[in-house]
Amino acid sequence: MIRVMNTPALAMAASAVLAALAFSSAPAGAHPHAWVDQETAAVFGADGRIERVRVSWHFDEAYTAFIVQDTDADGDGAADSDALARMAEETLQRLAEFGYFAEAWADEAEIGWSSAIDPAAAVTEDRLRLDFTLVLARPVDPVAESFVYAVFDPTYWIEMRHPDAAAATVENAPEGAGCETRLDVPDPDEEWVALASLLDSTQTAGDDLGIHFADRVAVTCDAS
Amino acid sequence: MRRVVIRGTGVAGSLGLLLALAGAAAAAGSASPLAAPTVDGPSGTAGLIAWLSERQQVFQQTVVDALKELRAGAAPRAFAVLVGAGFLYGVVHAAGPGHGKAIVSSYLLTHPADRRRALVIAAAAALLQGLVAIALVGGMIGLLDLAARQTRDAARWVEIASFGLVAAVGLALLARAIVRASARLGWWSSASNARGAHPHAHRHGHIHIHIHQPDDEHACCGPDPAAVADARGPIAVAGLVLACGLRPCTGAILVLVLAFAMDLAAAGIASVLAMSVGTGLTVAAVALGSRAVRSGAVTLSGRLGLGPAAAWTGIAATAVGGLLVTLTGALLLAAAFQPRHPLL
Repeated sequence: MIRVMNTPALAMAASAVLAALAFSSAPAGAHPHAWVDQETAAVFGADGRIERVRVSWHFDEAYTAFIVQDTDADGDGAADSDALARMAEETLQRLAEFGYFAEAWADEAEIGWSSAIDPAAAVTEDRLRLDFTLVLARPVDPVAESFVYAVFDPTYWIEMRHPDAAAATVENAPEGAGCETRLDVPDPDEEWVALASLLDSTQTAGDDLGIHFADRVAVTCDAS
Repeated sequence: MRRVVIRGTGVAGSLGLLLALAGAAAAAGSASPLAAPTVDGPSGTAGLIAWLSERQQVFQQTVVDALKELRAGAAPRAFAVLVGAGFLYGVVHAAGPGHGKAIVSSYLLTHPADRRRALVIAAAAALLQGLVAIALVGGMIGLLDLAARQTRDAARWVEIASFGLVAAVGLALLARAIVRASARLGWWSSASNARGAHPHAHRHGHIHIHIHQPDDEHACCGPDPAAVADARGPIAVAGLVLACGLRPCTGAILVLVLAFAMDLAAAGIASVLAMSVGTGLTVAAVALGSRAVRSGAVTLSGRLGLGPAAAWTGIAATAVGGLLVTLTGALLLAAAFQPRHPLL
């Protein structure tokens, strides 16, 4: 037995295993590092076209604790509402550079956002909630065009998912138009999952990763 | 060889066992209320990876829950959970991607080192990592009362410094390979080829990593082993330990910021120290394994009478290891200067 183990082949195999251990990767530090349960809504204007997407992010408790620590000016262990409001506004400003972590498509062509409005933040039951509304660069008539949007972190540092289909809704939709949302959950290819797993919290694979892990919401209207 | 190989498999076996234990314990832990990544029908490596990446979320939520319980007064149980979670996180996290293990194994695959030194390097790197996190968070939040955001900024600079050190260690390895190759080719004076048993030859005041011919394995029995160890050991080992351990672990920072924010500093520190012990175990396994592989290869080539060829193989291995470590450091540095995430 010992003779058999005493071979160069075994030494080579052992080296290979060790090299694999040392240089390759496994996952404990993998992306994502924060988790958001989101609620989103396609908001219709008076003329029956979709004008906005309303977003509400519920962060995990660990991320919340960081924000509370940052916004707790009087040291009572709770976030101050003024500081939270400021944080919400600043966050939205920083998000502007990243397209607000949201994309929308009409007939599969991307439409931008003209602005982001109504930032608000609150902490309830140890979860931070951040609300804002994105205004589409042009309104979309979902009867005439297909309309799809996705709200996600392009770097996948944060995973942003709808907990269930009911978390994506339509608001102010015209009566009788039969408008509703359909939630498409992601089914990422193995290589994207593997790539995400290789990234620790300080690394990034750029802005192309998150879309593979993004929920997509389609708005359809069936007037019949 | 015989002993070495058995030890090698033993190490691999215990590492596997530890990982399995960690996985089982994490799986048994409380389920997160948050949506976990759904990967439909994951298979093979990707499936395993996806499963393991969920542990991160489970770990964070476990820590938060334990701290909340502790604050509510359920002391012994919550404290045990917190320390246990830290320990398991340390074991598993260290088995993941990390420049630390790459450096330690590169060094030990290409340098003679006794078991004690291998273990000291692993333990010191792991402990340093925990202590840096404690000093950073304790100093900035505990003493200076700064915000979590500023603490992360500071952590980032320490991290950048450590990545610079990684690249420096890689370059030092490369330089040694070049020096050894030049010496063997006779480009160097014979004096500098006299295999490093002269302490005075090594007082260069910089991180000095030695490459020895594989037949130097028993250099310990040379004329003045104590002087050799004194001259080259501490500096090389310190450089190595700093490069591996200076970067605070993000998991440790997370635990500490949460603990300090909840006025549970002592519990957070205990958890992070347990994390260091866990990390140290995994890194020690890798270190001993690397060392065993090296001595196995050296013994083997000695028996097969491959002296000169083995010497060149050693030089080539050092050069490749140096290059890999240098590249790792450069890549980490480049990544560290990426624009920061808007929600951080």
